[in-house]
Amino acid sequence: MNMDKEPLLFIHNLSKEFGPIKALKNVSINFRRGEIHIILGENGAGKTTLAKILAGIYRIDSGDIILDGRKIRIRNTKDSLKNGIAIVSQYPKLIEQLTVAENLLLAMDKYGYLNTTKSIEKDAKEIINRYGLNIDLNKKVYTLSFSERQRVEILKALLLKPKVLILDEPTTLLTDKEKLHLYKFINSLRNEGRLIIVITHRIDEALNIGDRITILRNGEVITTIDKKNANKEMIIHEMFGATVEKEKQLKLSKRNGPGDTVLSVVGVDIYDDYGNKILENITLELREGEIHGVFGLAGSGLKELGETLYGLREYSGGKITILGQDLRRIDRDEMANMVGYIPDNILKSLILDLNIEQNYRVKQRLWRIQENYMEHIINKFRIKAESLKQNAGTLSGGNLQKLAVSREIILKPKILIAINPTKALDHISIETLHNIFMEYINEGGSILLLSEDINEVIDISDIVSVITKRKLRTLERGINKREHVLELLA
Amino acid sequence: MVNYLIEIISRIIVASTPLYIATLGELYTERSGVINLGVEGLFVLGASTAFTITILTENLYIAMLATLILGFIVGGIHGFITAYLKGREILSGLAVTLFSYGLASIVGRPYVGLSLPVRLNLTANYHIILLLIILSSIVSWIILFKLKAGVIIRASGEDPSSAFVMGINVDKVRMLTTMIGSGLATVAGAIYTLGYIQVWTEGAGAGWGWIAIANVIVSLWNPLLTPVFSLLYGGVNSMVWMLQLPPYNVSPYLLGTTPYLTTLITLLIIVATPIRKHVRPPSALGIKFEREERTI
Amino acid sequence: MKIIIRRRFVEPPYLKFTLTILAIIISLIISMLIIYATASIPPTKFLYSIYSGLIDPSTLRYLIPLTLSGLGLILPYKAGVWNIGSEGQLLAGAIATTYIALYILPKNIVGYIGIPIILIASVLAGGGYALIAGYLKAKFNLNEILSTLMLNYIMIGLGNYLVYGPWRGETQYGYPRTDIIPNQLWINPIQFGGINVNPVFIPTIIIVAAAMHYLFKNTRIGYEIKVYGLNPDAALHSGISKTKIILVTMFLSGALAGLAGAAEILSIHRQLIRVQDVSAGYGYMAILVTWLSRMDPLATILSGYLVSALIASGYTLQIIAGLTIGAVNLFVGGLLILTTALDFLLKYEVKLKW
Ligand SMILES: Nc1ncnc2c1ncn2[C@@H]1O[C@H](COP(=O)(O)OP(=O)(O)OP(=O)(O)O)[C@@H](O)[C@H]1O
Ligand SMILES: [Mg+2]
Repeated sequence: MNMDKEPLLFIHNLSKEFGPIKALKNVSINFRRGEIHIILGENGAGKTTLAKILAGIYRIDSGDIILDGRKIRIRNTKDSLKNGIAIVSQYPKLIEQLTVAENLLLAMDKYGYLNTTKSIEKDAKEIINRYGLNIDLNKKVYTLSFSERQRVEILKALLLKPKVLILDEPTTLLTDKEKLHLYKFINSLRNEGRLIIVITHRIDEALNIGDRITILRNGEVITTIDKKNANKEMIIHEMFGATVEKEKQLKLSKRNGPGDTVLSVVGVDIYDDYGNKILENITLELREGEIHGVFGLAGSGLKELGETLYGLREYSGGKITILGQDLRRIDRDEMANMVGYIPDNILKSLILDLNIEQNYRVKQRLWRIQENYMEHIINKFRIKAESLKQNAGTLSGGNLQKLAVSREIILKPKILIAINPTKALDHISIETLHNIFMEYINEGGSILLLSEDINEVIDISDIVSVITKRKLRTLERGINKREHVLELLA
Repeated sequence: MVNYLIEIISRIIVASTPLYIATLGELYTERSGVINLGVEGLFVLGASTAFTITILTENLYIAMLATLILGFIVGGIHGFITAYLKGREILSGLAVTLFSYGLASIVGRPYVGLSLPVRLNLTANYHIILLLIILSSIVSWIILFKLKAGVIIRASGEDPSSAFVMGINVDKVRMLTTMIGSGLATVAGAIYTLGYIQVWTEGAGAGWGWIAIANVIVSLWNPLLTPVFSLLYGGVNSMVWMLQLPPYNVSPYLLGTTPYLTTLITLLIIVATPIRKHVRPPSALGIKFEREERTI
Repeated sequence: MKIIIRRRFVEPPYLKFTLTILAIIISLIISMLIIYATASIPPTKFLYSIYSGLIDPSTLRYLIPLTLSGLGLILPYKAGVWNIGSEGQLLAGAIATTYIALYILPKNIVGYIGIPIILIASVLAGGGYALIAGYLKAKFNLNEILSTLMLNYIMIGLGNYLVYGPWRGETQYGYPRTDIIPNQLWINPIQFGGINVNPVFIPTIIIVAAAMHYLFKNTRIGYEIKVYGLNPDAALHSGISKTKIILVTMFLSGALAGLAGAAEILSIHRQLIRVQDVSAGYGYMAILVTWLSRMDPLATILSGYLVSALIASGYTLQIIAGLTIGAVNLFVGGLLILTTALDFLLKYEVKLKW
């Protein structure tokens, strides 16, 4: 047991800058063999940056990495893999157009250029059986659900037999059941004497599975604590520092009852990027002054549904009506004026090479917006920026998200379609956004909230729909309790 | 009659060979995510260099080898700019083409109009050539779709950032496939002068590289399909001139546009009919890979 | 030794300018060496020819087609639409000009009516020809690089067919060229400060450059073009129409190339001649003009001048050393290679550490 306490990986004075952003400032952490080490921090704390540096994805600015008592140089991902460090990224990093087996072959450095997928089959099958992973090696990755993809990532990591396994927000895309499965799995790897580094911004998760927890804030290590000595209050304090101020409780106060229908979908089929039908015979209604939350897992078709309703995708079958008009008759210009839209990835709607002000002006109706009004909006949304002239590319992810949302609802469109608007935001940012949503609703807006976060859907929606097995089912108005949703999912 | 047919067939095959070779090279390049518009200039450069070296050395093999190496070097410029310097690849490709045009003209000019001391007799060996075309397309298919080498190339062209996470040196892969494609383009040019037109004039081979790039699309990025349009094009190219003779008397200048019209119309058929569903360019084709690119 | 590479987030001022100058100098040296090695032209002679190109007033003769087409290309290139078809669009303008002048307008039409009609026709011809590729891209997503290239060759074939065939002039002793267009439609240079200046097209260039400067600084459509080029998804999400951007930028760039074609016929050739003599690759060199200016309309006049000077000196070299236009291509290509390569330093900071 004593062996378990040995130091395995030591990072010393690691720094990384992205232009004006200091993502990591002299970070030093001591990781031990056979532990689950949590890196915890709010959005933009620098967690992913740290992981990507260890994995050889980002270049290192300065600092040392010592593995097994030996200083190592990580110039690229290959160096990192050679040293036995493997990463499971926040969103599966598999090549969708290749089969599972091809992805595995690609990742295994020990096979030469003339090998075929046969080389990895035996090893892969053995691991699949041993851990009960249930993966079909010959399927193309794009046909897999997100949890299946995550299993492939894990299978890949196991084939590599790493000394150090880094998991970046591994549970973002998983259901509760799948989470438990993953935790068990991580545990067994730890017991084999490996170092497992888990990155998360969820405090409960950290306390639940970690042996030790390192808290990162603004690129600096605040502290490393043993789980035994940790509790939630203290962690919150360390994570958010002085910036914690209680957000006002959600203003779920009585609103006017639901008004007229602003968006309706009747019997429509929806397709994915590969032309496969991903949702069948969808019927859905959004009324004025309400939030209609649609819950679905990652890859279930939420994104495609949102994009279709915003007129970005072909659809077939029935009819989609937006503010009384047939979707097919609405041109892009009109659509952008009538409907606010937050895509699944905000990099699709912002331009990182332009500054904040220019990003607002991208919208036709904000072309002539006053500067002081923009400043007012920035303050209201708590967007952390030095000035309107700051390049969007230098904002943190959470601030980019808020910038995108603020631009879409500044003009109070009748409808807002939001796909995972709070995905990967920390809880303070989530509260800010939710409050803004409520205010918008109280002023007569309506939101179609398409979310992979079951709690978000249940907490803020007036009416809830659930996507399962390519179908969408809407719960009776007012009934949006968790059990009902889970029942539908089962 | 049979002899006449054989002659036609052999001419078609010979006319399609340069296009086929250049296409195959560009197909490898594009599968790794790089568009190389330099192929056009490299073809022309290969045409002139091979001609000049053959005249100087009277040795076809030395000429071919030298041409190949020149292709690696000049094409390597494009590879380096796109893969390592993250430059704009359309511009860089055009630049390499213009540069190669210039070089080709300087290299070939002193020998313009001379006749080749030795010849590459392709017409007599047309059946072997056809066999080689078919074999090489099958082998390429196996390399690209069965072997790890191909998995690496395709991964770099579909999703370079994931490939990089898996330890693939995407920049190097793209550099190498661009060099391979460029080398094949110059060799295609060499075969064009040594085996097909057998003389050199200023601008010989111009336009073929563009057609090769179009042919990659027409072949749906699949090496098994590359011979198809190559042969069609070879057919049009070697037959259409007959229309110049009586009783047709069509203007040679109008006939000169047929290869391009054929290509444009074929492209249009591909994208405007249900075939379009099968047009799946590598997802990261023409997109730079930058390891520190922001994902969110 | 360690090479440290870092992404830049703020671009140092004047770096673009410095790198452009650097690119010009390096490619001059390289071309000088290559030409010395292959054609044994001594560097002094080479440099002298460049110098004389820069101060030779006849450089303005190439400036007109190059700068007009180069200005046009700024529009699609800012939008990320790769129009490589200026050559064909220029020829379309030249062919339309000849057609209207010889076959449509009455022989005795006065210049100030005839010339505007011709200019409009050339704009429509060039713009319309570009729209074919634009439409195919907008509607079927057909790669515009390939379609514009194919259309270049098709227009070249068509032009030569006309001058060798149906349009061959009755008074031209069988040479492949059309009859000369009526005298009053010629645009003759005027003396201005001791040099010959084209009274129509030089002012046109200045006006177009200023208008485009205004377009990108102050108008919505200019902004939409830029946004579309930076992030097509974001543009689409904000209601900017892809079709509109593609068609507008393609049409305008084709129109300006068409105008350049009219300029060549009305002010230089006065008849349609073999197309390779109407445009010796101006459409391709215009791409260099656009990129050397970093797509700044006002700077395009400067880069247009520079490239014209290079062509002029290329012709000088041709005469003194029997080189072909190939030498110019070598230089144009080399310069474009260096510009794209040195762009690296705009985006990355490179430091050496011992
Ligand atoms: N590739 C990049 N380019 C520019 N800035 C970046 C890049 N990656 C990260 N950043 C910036 O560095 C800071 C740290 O980002 P990082 O992704 O490490 O945060 P995180 O702790 O993982 O946050 P989250 O919980 O949102 O995932 C942020 O301000 C972010 O904007
Ligand atoms: Mg992160």
